[in-house]
Amino acid sequence: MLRVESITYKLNKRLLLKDISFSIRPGEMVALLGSNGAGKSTLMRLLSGERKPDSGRIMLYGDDLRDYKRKILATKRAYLQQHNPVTMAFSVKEVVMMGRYGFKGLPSAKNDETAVLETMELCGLLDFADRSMLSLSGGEQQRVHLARVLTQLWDNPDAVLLLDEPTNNMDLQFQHQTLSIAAAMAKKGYMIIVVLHDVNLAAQYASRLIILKDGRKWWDGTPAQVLTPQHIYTAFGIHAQAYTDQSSLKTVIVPKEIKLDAAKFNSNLQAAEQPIYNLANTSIDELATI
Amino acid sequence: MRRLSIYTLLSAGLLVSICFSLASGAMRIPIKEVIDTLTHNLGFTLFGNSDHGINQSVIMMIRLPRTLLGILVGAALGISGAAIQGIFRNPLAEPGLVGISAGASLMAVLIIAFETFLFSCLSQLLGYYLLAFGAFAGAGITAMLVYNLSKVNGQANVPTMLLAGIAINAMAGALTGLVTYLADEQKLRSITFWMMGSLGGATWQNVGCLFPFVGIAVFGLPFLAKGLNLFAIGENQVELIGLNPRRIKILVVVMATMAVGASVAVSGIIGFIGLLIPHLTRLIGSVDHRFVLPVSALMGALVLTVADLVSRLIVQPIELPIGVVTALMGSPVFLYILIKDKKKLVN
Repeated sequence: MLRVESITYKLNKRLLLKDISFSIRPGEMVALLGSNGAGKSTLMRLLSGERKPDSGRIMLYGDDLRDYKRKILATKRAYLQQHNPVTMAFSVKEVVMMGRYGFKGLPSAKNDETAVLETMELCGLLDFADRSMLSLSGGEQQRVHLARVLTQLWDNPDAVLLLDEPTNNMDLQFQHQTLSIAAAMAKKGYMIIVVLHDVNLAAQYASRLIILKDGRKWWDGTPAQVLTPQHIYTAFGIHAQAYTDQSSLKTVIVPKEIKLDAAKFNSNLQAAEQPIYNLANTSIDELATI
Repeated sequence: MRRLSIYTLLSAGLLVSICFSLASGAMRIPIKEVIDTLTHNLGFTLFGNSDHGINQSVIMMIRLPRTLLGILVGAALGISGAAIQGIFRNPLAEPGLVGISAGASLMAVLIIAFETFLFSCLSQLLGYYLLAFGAFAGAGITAMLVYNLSKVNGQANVPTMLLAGIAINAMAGALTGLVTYLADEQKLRSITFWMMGSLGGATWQNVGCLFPFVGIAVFGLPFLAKGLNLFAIGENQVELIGLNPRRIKILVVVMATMAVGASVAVSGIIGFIGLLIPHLTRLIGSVDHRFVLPVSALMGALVLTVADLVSRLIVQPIELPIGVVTALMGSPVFLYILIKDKKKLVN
């Protein structure tokens, strides 16, 4: 299991994460929610080892992440970043295969080919196998990188999969396909941590939600426990209603529409606009001149 | 399959161009005699007659070392260009452009200018090694400087890299000019030779001196091909997938600059090979470094051999500096890349 023990992280004296603790059991899929700048991506960077916490530690199966050997850790943890720019015209299949590059000499190396083919099929990439990465759209590229991180962990159900906004740029079908893959991986025993902006998508697929605000953990629990109108307002600053969908028994959030007064909206345009007439206070004679 | 035919084609091309290179020049020698001389010196006889007198001396003492030097320098520039482009994640990072060659040449010039004061007791062979190591040090320092200058959030930033290259080229050029002013007549001649870029100074001695530097790069760099592939998807992913990015980076920079530095030490700055060759390799085959690295070495050797042949033949009996020929071939390719990738370079 993965245990985060009271981690704190500062960048240029700004406190980005403050005293965050939680733990995840095998088979759990946890979604991290929060507004922009709440610390979700920073937390993912710490979990991926890209940054080191200033205090606290992250334990995987009882050992500090920092004590793992690089090669062993690569079989136990994979990380899909938000942005994955590829600058050279690698083929889709080669990029997916890169997930296995660290396994030379390990026993799982002989399963490379099946891992690549199965993950490419799951991510709908079989027709793209020989296409250049540079010719793909943003959503398609994101699917290739998803297949790559899946390939990396394909033989190790005790691994942690970190997904930072995996549905970025994806169409509706693949947003759901991606999260259903993650949920299915969790069923096999993987630990999944996924950053999402779409609260309903999180409620539909994750077994547990954690809401961050200003670098702290505010709520942690099942979607029904966490997603109340009060919590949503506190975390995101928007009014919303929470329902339980009768057929799936999942929590569904319906945010209230935000209305802006167009008249007060753009002061540059205001001077040029037509004067606004209040019809109730206008006499018949004046109306005739309009 | 396709890769195999590319290897075969390039190797065959290289063999043919070697034969032509040995046969052509101020004194034409029939191909048959060339092959005869070579096989005889390898210890067996093909056509029975093996004594060609003066022709044999021309081949063995003048043309063979020059051809071998061209092969070594071409292979070094090709493979180093490919490796450096891989580390910088950018097809425009060429040793000449980012200042690595200029750093090497500055060190070489410094060593030539001051060798009498410092190393007058060294033998000539040791002097060559000193020159090669000095050029390697100059190349390595500039490579690390440019890389660290152009790194933003762990990734090489292209405009900064090119601007840093311009600054370093200007600085090295100015310092080289300064050293030339201080040098005496005889030193000046050797320095001018370095600045032009030429294979004319080839001897068995400097071929032997260059061989280990280039050999290590050509045989060592392909072992880092997978790591270089991973750099294309981001430096931090290298670590996550279980390889050591620092080690890969240091080894690549050391081996590439070693080859470039030593080449500059014996043949001066020969531009555009490091840019042109890897790009052509990616065009005809794939961008996979397991393919790009060895093929760039092979194609670099072929192209430089041909360029040397052209430089010797085109305005006979005068010999054109080889840098002129490679720049004539390379700059249109450079412009082509610029036009094609214009939009990508901006953001």
